[in-house]
Amino acid sequence: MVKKAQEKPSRKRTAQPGAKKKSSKSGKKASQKNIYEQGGRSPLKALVGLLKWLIHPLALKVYLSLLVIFVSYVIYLDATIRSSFDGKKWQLPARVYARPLELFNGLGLSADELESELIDLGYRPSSATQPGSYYRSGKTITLYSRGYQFWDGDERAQQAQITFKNGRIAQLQTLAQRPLPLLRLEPMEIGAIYPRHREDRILVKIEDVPPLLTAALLAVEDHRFYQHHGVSPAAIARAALANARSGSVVQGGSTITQQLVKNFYLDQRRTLRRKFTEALMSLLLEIHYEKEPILEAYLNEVYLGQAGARGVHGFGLASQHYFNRSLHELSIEKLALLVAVVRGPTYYDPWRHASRAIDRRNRVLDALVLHGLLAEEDSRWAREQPLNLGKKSQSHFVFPAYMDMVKRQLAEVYQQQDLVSNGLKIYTSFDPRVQRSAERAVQDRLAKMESGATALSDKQLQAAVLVTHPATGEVMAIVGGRNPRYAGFNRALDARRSIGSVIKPFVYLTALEQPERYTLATLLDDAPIPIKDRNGGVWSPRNFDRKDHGEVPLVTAMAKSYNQATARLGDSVGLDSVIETLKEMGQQRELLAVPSLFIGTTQLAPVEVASLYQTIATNGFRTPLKAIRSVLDKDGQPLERFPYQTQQAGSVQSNYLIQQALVHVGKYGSAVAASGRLGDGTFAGKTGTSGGQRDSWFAGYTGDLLAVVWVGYDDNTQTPYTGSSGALPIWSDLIARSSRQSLQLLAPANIVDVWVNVRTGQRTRSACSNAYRLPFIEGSEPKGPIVCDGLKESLR
Amino acid sequence: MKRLHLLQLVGWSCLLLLSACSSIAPPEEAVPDIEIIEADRSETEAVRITMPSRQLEGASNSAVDQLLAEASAAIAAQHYERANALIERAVRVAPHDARAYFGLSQVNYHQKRLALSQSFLQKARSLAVNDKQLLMSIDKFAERLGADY
Repeated sequence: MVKKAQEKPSRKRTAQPGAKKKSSKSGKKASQKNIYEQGGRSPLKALVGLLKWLIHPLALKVYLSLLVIFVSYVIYLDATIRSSFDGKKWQLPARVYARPLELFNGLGLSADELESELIDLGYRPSSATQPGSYYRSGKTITLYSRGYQFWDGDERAQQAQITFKNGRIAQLQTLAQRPLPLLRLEPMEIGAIYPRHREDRILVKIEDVPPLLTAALLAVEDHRFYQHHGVSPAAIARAALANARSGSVVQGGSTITQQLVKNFYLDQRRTLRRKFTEALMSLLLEIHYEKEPILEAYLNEVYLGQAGARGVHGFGLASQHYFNRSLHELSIEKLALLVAVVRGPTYYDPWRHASRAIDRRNRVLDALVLHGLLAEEDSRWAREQPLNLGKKSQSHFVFPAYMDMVKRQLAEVYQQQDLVSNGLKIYTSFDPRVQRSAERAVQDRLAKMESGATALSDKQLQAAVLVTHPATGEVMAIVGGRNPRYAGFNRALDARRSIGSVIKPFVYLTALEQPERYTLATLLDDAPIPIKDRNGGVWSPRNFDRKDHGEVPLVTAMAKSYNQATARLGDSVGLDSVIETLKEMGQQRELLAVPSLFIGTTQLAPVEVASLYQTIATNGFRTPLKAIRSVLDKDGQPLERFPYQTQQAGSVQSNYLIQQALVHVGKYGSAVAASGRLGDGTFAGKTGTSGGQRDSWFAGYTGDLLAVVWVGYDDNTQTPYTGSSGALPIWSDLIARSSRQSLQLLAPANIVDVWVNVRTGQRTRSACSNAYRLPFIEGSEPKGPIVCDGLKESLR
Repeated sequence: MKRLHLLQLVGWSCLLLLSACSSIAPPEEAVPDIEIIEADRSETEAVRITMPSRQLEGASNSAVDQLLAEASAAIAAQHYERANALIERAVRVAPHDARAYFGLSQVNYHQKRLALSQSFLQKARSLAVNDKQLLMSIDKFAERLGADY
């Protein structure tokens, strides 16, 4: 070879005279020739020199080093690929779900409400022959549920017919007219806890993906996917040619594998180095894994849109994002649209650029026909379909106050890293219907208050609402401020404000725990009372109406919220005893031990007030409030349950008496306005107004809802509202719209009902004036003669 | 895993060698999965929930009956957490049904949460005032609980 190389210049030299003649016009070439001749160096010689250098022992060492570096790099990439592809590929956000709607005979639910819930869950109004669809005919809804994996077992997909009457489910049955005791719908997703990069996805398994979707994807993006080994030289050549012809990048030659590698392992820079790494990693990926896992990873990885700050990745989530349905419920044209979006989720955004998206979708359909995957006729039908997008996802982060409570409860059990990466499924007691009612009540009422005759300042009146189930303590709804979408200060959990008379039931309860001294009929003196505090100061409360009411029965003093009688009673039972009662009933923070606590200078957050009233509503069984019912892992396996817990906090009998007194507040006391709307005796509750009318409160409950409402200014300035005129109307609106069960107080053992004259506290008859039927703990009922209209009738 | 012919790999590698070397950051370390909490599977005698019929206004008896029957089967199979979850559903359907609280008392007893079992028993008793049959069952169970508590 060396010899041949040496011969070449000599041949060239022999040819030079002729060449010189031919190229005499070129002085440059001539001078080059001279240089060769003078120095004895020709290009051939230079090449020989280069080859000599290339095979020089030192050069061989360099090659070897480069090879070692390359091999090391390959090994490193290989390890990188395998470590992340074999293990957990993605950080999956924790998903938070509302309560599943459980249907049964007698449930308070109208046909409109069920239909609204079905629409929120993405059910299609059709013939109810496919899971996820329903059909409504007047007051009958036929549905085909989707089925779901719950903590306590799988709920299978089934068809059912539901007939409604007077706002209740009158009949729940199968299509074969057999009675169906229960039917549980799948829960609605209400939010998620995302990793910092805010990627979101719902993982799908390749066997669960409609074959037409993968076929369309491959037809459009990489039709030789099953033939190549990660990189397709033919595709690269085609793309290079197309790009060269157009003078810009118009076509990519990346395979599905390369796209996956780029998205999964690399950044989005278009550099030669990155392309090289991408190709190498693609090869390595294909060496180690079959096509199916690679395709499955791609289906879950690919970026397909944006929902606010959240990146929509993978076809599982994209299906929900664009159509509010799962993948297997999508028809051809919808699947084609998802594939169309792959090429550019922003450019082909179907909400913003519908015509572009339709064009691209139709090209996908064409490709399916071209590859023999779709009949021409079906394609024609699909091309004529509109986009039929679902309702744009509003569910995420639209209930920030509730999500705040969920996160606080989760923080007691899980690390933040678990929540943003393990794909946990968190099931809560959130009730979307109750939440919407509470939000509407706040917004409507505050707007009315501010537009009323009593013109307010330019400050914004604020409100907070917390709703629980009175039996279980499960939190159903939270409104953290007048703008329920604003994820800022959560007044329901954090605004500690003076609670006013809302505290009084606990003063009275402390007294009623001593039935030998106090009953609902015990007469209390409502004259002014000076009380010495622990620092020697004297505190003398006055009634709201600035009047003294003389001797009043205990039940009336509470119903009418008399401050003087309450302070006297509190002073009589003792400040420490009242604080002890509050602790027993669920107050966890230390309270300032001052006599003014009796009329509510104590500052509590709505959630704390709800916790206290919860214990009353359960007849003295302290039940911690909770938002989360259970947590499942990403595969639906049970992880954690937050079981219903309770502990007896006081006598069932005395709690029953205080509940009856709270019913009197609605019947004859400060909440009588709500009775006109909701009905007599349908609820129990207490108004509260802090000093200077800075805070307006109402805490009350029916048979199925317990709600605490606060209204006031953030800067703690005076409002024109009392508990009755500020918080109570919001509470009434909420209850009127959402509660379906009136309060039913079941008298426990050892309770006797006696007719009493509430002016005198003496026994009387039902027909006599001022006669009220009051419950007494057996043995504590009035023992004197029956007195009717001042006349003694008998002795007992 | 799949094997590709070595020559193919070498060939591709040689082609790629023409490009400059590059490096990428290793992907984020995987976070260990959360440990699964198993339900208590200790060997305890299964107690069946007694289900005297009791109608409650506004509640669906058949729904509660079904849930309590499923819970009863779950207790018999020693699937106590599942039983607990089923009875909680019954409480949501009929919050004043003493049978459900009695069921919760029994499940918590099996789970060795005796204080909670006691509380639910008190709750059941407070609601079962007019149901003599259920009160008898509650008293009987209270004796057993009292002996263990």
